[in-house]
Amino acid sequence: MENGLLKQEQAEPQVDPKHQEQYDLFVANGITIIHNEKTSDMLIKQILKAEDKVEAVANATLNVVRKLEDSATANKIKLSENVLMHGANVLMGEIIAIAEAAGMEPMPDEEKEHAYSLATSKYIDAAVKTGKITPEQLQQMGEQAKQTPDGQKIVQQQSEGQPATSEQAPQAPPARPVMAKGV
Amino acid sequence: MPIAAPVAAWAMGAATAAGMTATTVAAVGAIAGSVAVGIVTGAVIGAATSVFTGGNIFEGALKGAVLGGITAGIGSGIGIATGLAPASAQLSAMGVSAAAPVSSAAPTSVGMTGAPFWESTASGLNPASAVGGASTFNVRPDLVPAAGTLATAPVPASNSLLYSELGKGLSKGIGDVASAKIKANSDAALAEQAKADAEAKIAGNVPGEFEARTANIKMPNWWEKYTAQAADIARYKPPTGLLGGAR
Repeated sequence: MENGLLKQEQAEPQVDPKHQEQYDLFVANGITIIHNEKTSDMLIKQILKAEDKVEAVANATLNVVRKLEDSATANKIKLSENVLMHGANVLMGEIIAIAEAAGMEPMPDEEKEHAYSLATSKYIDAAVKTGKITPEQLQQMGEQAKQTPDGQKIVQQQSEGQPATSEQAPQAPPARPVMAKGV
Repeated sequence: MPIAAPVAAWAMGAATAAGMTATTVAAVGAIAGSVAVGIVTGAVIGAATSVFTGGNIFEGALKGAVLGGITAGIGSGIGIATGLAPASAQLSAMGVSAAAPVSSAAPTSVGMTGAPFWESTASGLNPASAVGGASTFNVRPDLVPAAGTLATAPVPASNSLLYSELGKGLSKGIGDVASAKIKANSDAALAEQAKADAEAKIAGNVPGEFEARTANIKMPNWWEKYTAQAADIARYKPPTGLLGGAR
């Protein structure tokens, strides 16, 4: 994961042109894969025959993202996490669109959010298991994420009004020094 | 599910990579950019917490993602939609200023150009702007969704101000309703009153739901089967001894 992207930018919103270019390539390449005759048929088939459309869409998106990530790595390109995050969202939208065009029942927004959540969680889990992200890096990313406005809201929601049941989201660990190894 | 995909062309421009023929497609994110940011933020926090506590990373990430999605949805106004229209539209109808809707099917509606990283706005990088205007893709015509199906990501209203304004508006509305009750002396007035009561009830549900969600967010349980699957995988131990290993 790239350094510092979890930090909030306080100034006027600006996107690094390099990231924009990377994103453009990511999306264009992803759409090329999704609409390739061979892959689109396979993706559609897998989604349509799946009992769990949420998981099928999440898996299909992950497959395309991983393919793109591997391809980028082979070309010595390090994709930023923002490109992955927003690019995956767009590609998931495209996958859902072709699946719906091929006959899948329209997917409600709620299920789309579930699919995106599932894909994100699987991605992070796999990244740690394969060593792409070390546990120390993940912890540091977590600390950075907590400092963002969204992260603060999430931590607040974790600590407010949540009964201590197994269903609750994990509580934020107490602050402690971030590992020396950076993200 | 391995995919035998064409090799992504990183070295060349996106326009060339995508073929630049055939149909123009405005790629639209599956979900609002702000919710995507919330989900990823929550997933990272949840996964990191699991590392700290020694829990299951997938489970922690998924629970965090769910909470992040809910929180972002509430924050952006998506979570208080009654099902008839986005919250921003409802609030606009009530005279509360909300963000202007984005035109559907416009490539820039998913654009992140101009949006900061990790900011809670509907954001996304603009697929067409930087690299040679890659707004056209070689898409199988039979799979191109109709333009109307390209949903527009909901645009978040300005949250705290918006809810503050909403509260003021509702107070005024409730006061008006109370006044109307005193004046109700005829059938027409009673009918008018009934209508006002119904409207007040509908309007009252909006902040009511928002308050309920923020005061004590109940985590839904849709992820349980996925976390259960993960737990099963974690518990699974490959049989030993078949290849000479000791049991």
